[in-house]
Amino acid sequence: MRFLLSVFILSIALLFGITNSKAQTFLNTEGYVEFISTAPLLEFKGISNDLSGLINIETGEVDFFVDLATLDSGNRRRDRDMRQVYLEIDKYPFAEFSGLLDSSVDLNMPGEQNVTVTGEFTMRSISREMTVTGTIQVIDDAIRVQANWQILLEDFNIDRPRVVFYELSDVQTINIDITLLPHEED
Amino acid sequence: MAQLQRERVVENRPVELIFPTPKHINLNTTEPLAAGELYYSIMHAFGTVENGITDFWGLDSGANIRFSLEYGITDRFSVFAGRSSMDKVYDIGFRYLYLQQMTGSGSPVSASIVLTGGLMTDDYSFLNQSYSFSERNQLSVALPFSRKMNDRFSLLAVPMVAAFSRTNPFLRIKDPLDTEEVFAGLGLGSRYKLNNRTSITIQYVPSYRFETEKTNQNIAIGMDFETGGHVFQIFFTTSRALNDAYLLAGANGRIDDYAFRFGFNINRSFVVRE
Repeated sequence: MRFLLSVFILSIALLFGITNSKAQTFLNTEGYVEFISTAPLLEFKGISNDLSGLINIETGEVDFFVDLATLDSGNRRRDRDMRQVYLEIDKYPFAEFSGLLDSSVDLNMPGEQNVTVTGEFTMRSISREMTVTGTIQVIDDAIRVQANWQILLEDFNIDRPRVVFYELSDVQTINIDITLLPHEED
Repeated sequence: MAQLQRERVVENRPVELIFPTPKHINLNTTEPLAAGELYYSIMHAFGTVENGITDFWGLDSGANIRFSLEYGITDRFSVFAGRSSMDKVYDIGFRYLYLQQMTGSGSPVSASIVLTGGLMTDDYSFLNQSYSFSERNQLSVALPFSRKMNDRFSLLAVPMVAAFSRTNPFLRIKDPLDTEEVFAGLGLGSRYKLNNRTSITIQYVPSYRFETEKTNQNIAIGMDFETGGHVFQIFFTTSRALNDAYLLAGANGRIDDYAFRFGFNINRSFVVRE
């Protein structure tokens, strides 16, 4: 009986040992994200270094968001218009993407791995289903995630000036680059 | 599903676009230019509407027009130059935002100072009056305070003082006693956003004449249309004045006589330096 108990305890310890040997959840709150608007005469970027991201390799869960107040386009006038007129950040503070990895990630594989995530991109309380492709690269204990995709402002009910000027493109390219660090779950 | 806690990075942010442009009908607002922003405004006030179609509700009377250029040196400090057709007044000045309304702790209002120096260049030789350079000067100070009460509603209060080096009963500055040279007033304004691009606007500017102890009153009501690059402001106003000094000292139609005039401003911003 004592032997069995020892085996049981040992098994539990091993089990925890194995699962803890490599963290399955990775997160960071200081990632890079840029929104690029390319209109015929004008291209500009809104950049933030406050992208928060989380990936759970085991469950495949992916969650990213950025506080849109941190977007900086390099000019205060454009920032004000972007934040107040188009994004209305006081009402809708975040842009978010949550989804599931379509395939598993091998943390022991060197180099970049292509991944796709299917989920919902949400802005201004409007959610759109989308599939995003990107890469994951294991660097020491951390994983670096890079991805880019496009959204249409029209899909998020963003009232873009059409009549007089065409300064803001309907198509916005989003690039993210974030290094997620291992996180022990509580 | 595992989710990150949604938290704002910056809780205490400046309250932006309390008014969409540096001008609210005729009054200066607290809205600063961005560093490297060039702001162009052209303002019009036509004749009174009371004669109806005879002069097409005042449009045939021609307009007082002021056009101006303003450039943002920093995100709080800008300089401007303008010209009004009434009395051919050239003006230069600066605008400085010294207090910024915040969303959290911090100032509950935004406040600016706008200092304007003007030069009247009209020819009054037909009145057998000669005006030297030093008799053609005007100085005005406006101290706009503004507060965004909520998403839709903003308030503006603008104490103003204007001084003229010379006034005259025959000039546009109606001064029957020919003695008044300093005028003070309090401009009040507000806007109510109907939607993201359209607002109802109102302005009321009582100005006090110290020597005659009379109050001159300007009232205007209008609408703002924001199109992205432009802000169009159309309004009916009792005053033909388009700069601070004349707004305080100039003639105003009586509200009960329906002496309103049609007017409109076109505001346009350019980013000239990134």
